[in-house]
Amino acid sequence: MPPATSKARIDKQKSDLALLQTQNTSLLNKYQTLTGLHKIDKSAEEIMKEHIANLKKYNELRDTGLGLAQMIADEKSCKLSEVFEEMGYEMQDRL
Amino acid sequence: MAVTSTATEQIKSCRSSVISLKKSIIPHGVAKREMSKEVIEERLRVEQIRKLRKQHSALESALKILGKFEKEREVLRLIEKWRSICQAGMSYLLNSTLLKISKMGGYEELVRKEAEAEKRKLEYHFSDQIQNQIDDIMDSDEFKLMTEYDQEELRQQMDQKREENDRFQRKELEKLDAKLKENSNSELTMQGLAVRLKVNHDMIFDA
Repeated sequence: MPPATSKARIDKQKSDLALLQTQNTSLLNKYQTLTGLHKIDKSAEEIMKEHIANLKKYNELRDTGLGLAQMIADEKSCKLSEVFEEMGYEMQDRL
Repeated sequence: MAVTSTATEQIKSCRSSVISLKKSIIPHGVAKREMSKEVIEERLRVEQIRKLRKQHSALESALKILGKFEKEREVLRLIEKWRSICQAGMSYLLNSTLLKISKMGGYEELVRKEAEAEKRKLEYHFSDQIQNQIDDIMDSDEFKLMTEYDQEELRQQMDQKREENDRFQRKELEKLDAKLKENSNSELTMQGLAVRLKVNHDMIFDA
């Protein structure tokens, strides 16, 4: 490889590295502020994993709940909304 | 403060990984002197960039989540809402199923009827269907055109298959009998109902 190209590549790597280090320091500062605010003692990866796990759990429970309510509605020969009304819950979620 | 220590640990781990990388970057069997200083430094830089990019992406995603933390709390509230709905639904269905079971003579009777239906299905599948297939082969023109020796060989093969099926059927029937015995004097439980309804019992009842 010609030395000029190699030097250009190395310079690019060095500038990328410096930029990433600066950006990550700034992101880490923001992260510390927000985790402190919400009193969270978890790594960024843990927060991501927990977020995904919670969404998955919510979807599974919602699907199961709707399925069970439908079975009850079929058994009672009534509307699904009536089952929810009787249980005292809203069928729709507002996220 | 514990919160600050987590972030500081992340910086430390990033620094220490660079140090450990220096030690591991030269493959086994390759003498250090064979690699130029530049090559080693470049590999180190590339690896450092890769790790920083990974950290960058994780921090960005976590910040997005933390920026809308109210939404996160709302998801937790909705998890509890739907868990309560599932629990109420399961309780209703257990009660109504127990009533139905009681009307039909008890849980043992239900299991017995289910086992009988399963047995009938097995008998139909393994005896009647296979016997019909064998009869069809015996009555076919192709079979009649075979030599006596070939016909005998085919008969033996079919007998063997029939025996294998009989053995399998006996095993399945034994399993059903064992299930029946296992369920004698027992009641339908919430876990049993969850299995029958194909829902995750632990997800609903274990927070």
